Amino acid sequence: MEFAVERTLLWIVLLPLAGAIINGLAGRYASRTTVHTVAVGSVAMAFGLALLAFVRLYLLRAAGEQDAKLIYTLYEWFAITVNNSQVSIPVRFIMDALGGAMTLVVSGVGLLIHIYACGYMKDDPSYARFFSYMNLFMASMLLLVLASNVPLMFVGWEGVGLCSYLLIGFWFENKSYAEAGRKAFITNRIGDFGVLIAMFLLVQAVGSFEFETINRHAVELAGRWAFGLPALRMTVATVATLFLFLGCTGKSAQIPLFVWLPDAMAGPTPVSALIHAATMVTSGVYLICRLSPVFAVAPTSMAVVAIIGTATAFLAATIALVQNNMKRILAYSTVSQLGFMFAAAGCGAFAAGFFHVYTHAFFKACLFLGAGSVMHAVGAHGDADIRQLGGLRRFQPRTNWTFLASCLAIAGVPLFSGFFSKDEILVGALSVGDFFFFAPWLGRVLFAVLVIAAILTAFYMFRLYFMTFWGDYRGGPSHDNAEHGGHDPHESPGSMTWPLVLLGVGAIVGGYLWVGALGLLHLHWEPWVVWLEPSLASIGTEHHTSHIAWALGLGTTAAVVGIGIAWSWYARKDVETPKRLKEQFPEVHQFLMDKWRVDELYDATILGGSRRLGIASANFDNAAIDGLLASASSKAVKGLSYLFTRIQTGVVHAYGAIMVAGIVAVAWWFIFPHARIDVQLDENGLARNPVHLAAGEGLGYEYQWDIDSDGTFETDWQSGSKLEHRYSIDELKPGSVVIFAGSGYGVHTKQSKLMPGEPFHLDENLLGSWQHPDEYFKKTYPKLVGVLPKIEADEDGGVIIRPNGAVVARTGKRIEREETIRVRPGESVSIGEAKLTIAGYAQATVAVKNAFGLISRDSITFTIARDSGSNAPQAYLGGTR
Amino acid sequence: MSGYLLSILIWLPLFAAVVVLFTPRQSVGVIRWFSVLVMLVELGISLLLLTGDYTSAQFQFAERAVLVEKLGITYSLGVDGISLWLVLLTTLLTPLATYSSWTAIHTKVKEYAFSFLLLETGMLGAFIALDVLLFYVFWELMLIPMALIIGIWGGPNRVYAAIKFFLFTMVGSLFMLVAIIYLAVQYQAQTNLYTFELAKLTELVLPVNIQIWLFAAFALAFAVKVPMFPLHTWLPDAHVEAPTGGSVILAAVLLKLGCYGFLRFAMPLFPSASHRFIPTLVVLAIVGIIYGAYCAWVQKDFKKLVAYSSVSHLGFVMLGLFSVTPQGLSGSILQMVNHGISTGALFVLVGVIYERRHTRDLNEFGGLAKVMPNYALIFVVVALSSAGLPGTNGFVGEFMILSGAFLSEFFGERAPLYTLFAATGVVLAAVYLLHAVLKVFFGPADNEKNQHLPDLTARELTVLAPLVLFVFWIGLYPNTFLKSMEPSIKAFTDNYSAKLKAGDDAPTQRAVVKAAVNIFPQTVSETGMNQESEEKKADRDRNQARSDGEVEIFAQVAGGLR
Repeated sequence: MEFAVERTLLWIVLLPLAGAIINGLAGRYASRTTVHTVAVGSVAMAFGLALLAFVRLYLLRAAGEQDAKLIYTLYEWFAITVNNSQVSIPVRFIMDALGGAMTLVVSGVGLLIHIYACGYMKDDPSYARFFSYMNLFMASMLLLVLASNVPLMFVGWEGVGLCSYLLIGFWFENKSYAEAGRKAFITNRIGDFGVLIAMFLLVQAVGSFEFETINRHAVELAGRWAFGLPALRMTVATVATLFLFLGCTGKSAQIPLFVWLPDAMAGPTPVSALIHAATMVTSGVYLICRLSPVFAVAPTSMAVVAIIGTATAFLAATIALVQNNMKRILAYSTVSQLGFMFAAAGCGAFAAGFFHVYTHAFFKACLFLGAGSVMHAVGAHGDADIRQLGGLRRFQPRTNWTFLASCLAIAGVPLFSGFFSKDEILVGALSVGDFFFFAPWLGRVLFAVLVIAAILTAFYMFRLYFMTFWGDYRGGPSHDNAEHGGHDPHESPGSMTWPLVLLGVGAIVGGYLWVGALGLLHLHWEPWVVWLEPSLASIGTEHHTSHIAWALGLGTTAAVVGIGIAWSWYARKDVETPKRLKEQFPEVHQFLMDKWRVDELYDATILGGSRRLGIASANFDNAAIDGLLASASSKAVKGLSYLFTRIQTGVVHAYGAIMVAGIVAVAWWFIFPHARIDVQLDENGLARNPVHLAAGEGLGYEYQWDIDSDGTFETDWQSGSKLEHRYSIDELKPGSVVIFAGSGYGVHTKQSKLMPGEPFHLDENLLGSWQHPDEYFKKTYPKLVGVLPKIEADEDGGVIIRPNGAVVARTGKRIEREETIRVRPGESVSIGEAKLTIAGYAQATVAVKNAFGLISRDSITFTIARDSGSNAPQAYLGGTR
Repeated sequence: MSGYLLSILIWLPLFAAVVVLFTPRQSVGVIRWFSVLVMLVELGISLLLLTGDYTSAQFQFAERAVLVEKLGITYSLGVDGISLWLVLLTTLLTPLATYSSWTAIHTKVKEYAFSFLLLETGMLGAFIALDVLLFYVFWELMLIPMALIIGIWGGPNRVYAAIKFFLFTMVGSLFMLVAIIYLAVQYQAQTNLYTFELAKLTELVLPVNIQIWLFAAFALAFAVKVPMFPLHTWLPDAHVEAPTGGSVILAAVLLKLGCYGFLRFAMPLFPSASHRFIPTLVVLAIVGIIYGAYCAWVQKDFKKLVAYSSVSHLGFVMLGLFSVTPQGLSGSILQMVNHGISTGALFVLVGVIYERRHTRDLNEFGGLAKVMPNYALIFVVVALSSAGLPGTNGFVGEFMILSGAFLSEFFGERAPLYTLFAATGVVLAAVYLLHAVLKVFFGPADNEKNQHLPDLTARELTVLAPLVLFVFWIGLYPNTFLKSMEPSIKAFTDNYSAKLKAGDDAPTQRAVVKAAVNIFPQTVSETGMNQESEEKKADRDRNQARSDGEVEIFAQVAGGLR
């Protein structure tokens, strides 16, 4: 095959995008026919190309290429640097087994829904805008599926969120619809934040954004502590997958971020079918399957996924029990079914979870479109209350049959598609066993809850079905805003029913892809699992026959029980059970009606809190920051200037008094000289020989220096305010000594006045400073160990040093205890190879005389470091070497 | 001519401004067209800069002339991969901003044109100058026309806003001036020569304790301009009061000069000090991101909302800068451009409805998507780009910045924490922008005044179209811009790390080595030596040699000493 099939991957994404752009910019001016030709045509072509690519992939697989995939790289988007190497983010599309299956589902179901929408949206004034958004959605969703790396997938991921936002708020003139759209987008964004962080974690550990590379390194991810913090006790794999799962809970409406999906029903029904049932909301499951090797090595995350999935499945099912609007019931049903998918994925049954994505796409799309057909028939706008419907099977036979087929499928009645996928999910939960080594019982608990959720599913779906299609027609919605006021319901046009039929057929037979056409004969041949094998990880659980039996048995029972109850309560006329129950447990009913009051909880806590935080910030900004930086500072300036203006009173005595005070101050300054002496010090705060002394300057000052502060001035009065003097040892003040310790690698000073008769101990710190921090130097350089030298001043201003048994470690020679040495300030002594310098204090005095002949004095005391110039004799302690 | 390209670029607007001064005040049309034409010529000239060789970190189109020899003040100009895009952003946005205020400005058109032309000279000069003092001159030069634009053509509270803007920026700048002079004096103390040239001053190794003060002075000036939390308080006032054109330039270009200042001057000149300030500055940047977003969310004034969003967005830019990673820095520069485009467009868009309705109160609007579909389309696109939707420019910038922050060595183990907090800004951006979209465009158009608003005019479309083009260009193919930044960014990070390694503790270590050498000139007592045997003497010499060698090693470790 010479022509590049790979290139089709690009066009699968680009064609719907082109359709979106054309309709978005020019659709307003074009005819409806043109608009839907462009919209449906582009999706149809994309579907055709997807089929082509899939066939190619299939042939490659059939030819024995296990890991077959189609790859097409367009260009480098951008690159980042990780650990000094470039990590490129290409615009690259890849179709492997998983992506191929998903592409077909998305483009196929998408195409049907597009066709359906041509009929459903026929009378909408914003026809072109609608199709532009729908096409943009297709492009984003296909990009999400086909992207080869996480950032590119993220483009699609946020793109579908955007389209969801635009389409939920499609009838934006209704403010609550627009608000529902915003809620969806922002909730999704919270999830996207998780994906973003997960991406960084993965790229830091793996050095690549490509799914394939990340999956290949999954095991390493499980061997690294997240953020390099062992204290966290979580591996990169665990933390990254948890963050990813946060993204999934947003996109796929799981606890805690599921609240947007029921509100999303504000969008036109085809949108609900396409985005909020069949495709977008399943992308969380798709993502988990995409990165299944990483999830598979993070049992903690898997447990979280499974628990959240199961809990969502249960919670949403309970809410769906009591709701009365068709689309709202279906929305909660979707949330619940998505929970099933996540439960499967969390239990390691990735293939089963993804199979449910596939079967669910058919029957849920069919259900939504069926609901749309019903609403179209009775003239309901937005949503239809099932209490006002009934008996529609007589008016809408096609809708009825397809709806029934889908209900049977979702309930898990044997041999319908949902049966196969739900059954596999239950098997998966039962078989997970020791994979959750921290809670081996978890799988059985999940199984039990899922079975209950399955009963509830069968019940509420058939409640919906019976109340809508059976019994007598109850007159439809109140007709104040309906388009078809007063007429009998009628079957929808062919453009709407044919997609229903196709989807309905899918809902019936779709499940046989799991067992294969020959599956009934060869029980072990599972084409779905085999096909997906290269793409999905395995956690190595075994499916015992007993597990399969339990799942089959209880799963089927659940369907039968649920349908049975619904039948006995709603299909037969005048049964009072539901009403009685409602009256008996009003709190429970209301609690479920109020959707567990999760929205209210979020409003009160997170949303309300955020809003209050926003208001608080704005107030803080006005009051504190602006108040402090702008108002307060300007007030301060104003206050000062007010003070100054107060001085300008115009009262002459006051001016006079101030002037006199000024004159006195100036006179004092002039009459009395101001002596100030400074000495130039080095970085260690020591003076260097020769010492630079400076005195404060003043008008007509003369200076006289007494460099050792002995009372006799060494210089005559002179005009220079600076003096340079080299201190000899004799000029240093006796009795005040400074100790330096150090060796070739540095110096550490310890200053202390030595008083005669008070022995001075080198302390540990100083000893420590003799040891170089570097390991190499520590070993090779001598250090003093044991007792430290003792230092004592004597009466004559000298210093006696006793080694006190210190050992020079390297040479191992012990210094004799008796050996002492006497040095004078300014001399240094070596103990082993460590050196000790005794520095001296000096005090200098300057006298300053001004033009009035008045004199003042100032003294300064400083320590003098030895300089290379004065080579005073040095002593060596510790004998010869 | 190419030898003087940058000079022409800088001085042409000033020349044109003088010409405008001599034009009769009544010929409003001539003045308007002339000024826009000059700005378009500027844009054309600046496009020639793209012919430079940005595969190296060398400054392109460099010019150098000595202005005051004795003081080392030079006229040195040059662009590299960093300033190139900011220059282009300036030359692109200036004509658009001027053109967008075509109908909004009726009074003193001549002075308005004069101010804008003068402003362009100041902005371009500041981006192109490579002499610190020259930079300072341009930096201050911008201040005056901008204050005038706010103070003369602004809203009701314009004088307060103009003075506030002027004082805040001025106070910061004065500290910087002192620091610049001190820097030159320090250079003179080490080399006996005065200089203000950036390249030479960068070589100066200053003790950390001095660096800290100088950096603080520079940082104050730049942080006010950026503006970083909590110095942002002049910004909402200035934006709200400024006319549309002024707001656009203020947001799109002027704020970038603060970020650019950090990148070009404060960080390379004082790496060790900036490194010490990074933990504080990063936290301020992140607080800015979140705080700005929260403040934006609750504003009732449309323009104030956009103004606070700038605080949030520039927090991202600063975060990227301080991460000192290649993608963090590239992302920052890209995000500066992005912010210029997106926020510039947002201000134009706010101006559009302000011109029609003379109010910016969000509660006054609603349902405009029906009335003004083109306007709504462009607004939503720009708002989403500002919120960093993938496929638009904002995403690439924010992604690079956040990944830079996450992977930054300088942030150490706090990097994930910083990133987590900063990334919440991405969520919050969606919150406040969609809040605005909802308020203005959705819901029923029940306010009668809104029901017959005309959609975008051809002029307004002309202004917005190029901006929308860049939204997608940068979003889809950012390599056009990123590739030419790479060498300069690499040079920046390499220099920064190297200087940091060498210079961080260099002064203290150097002092140590000197002190050690001075205190122990001859380490061993001469008297003892006579008694040493030949063998021991050899041993001692070996030790001595090693000891010397070690001093040598240390001198090298201390680095930057020779």
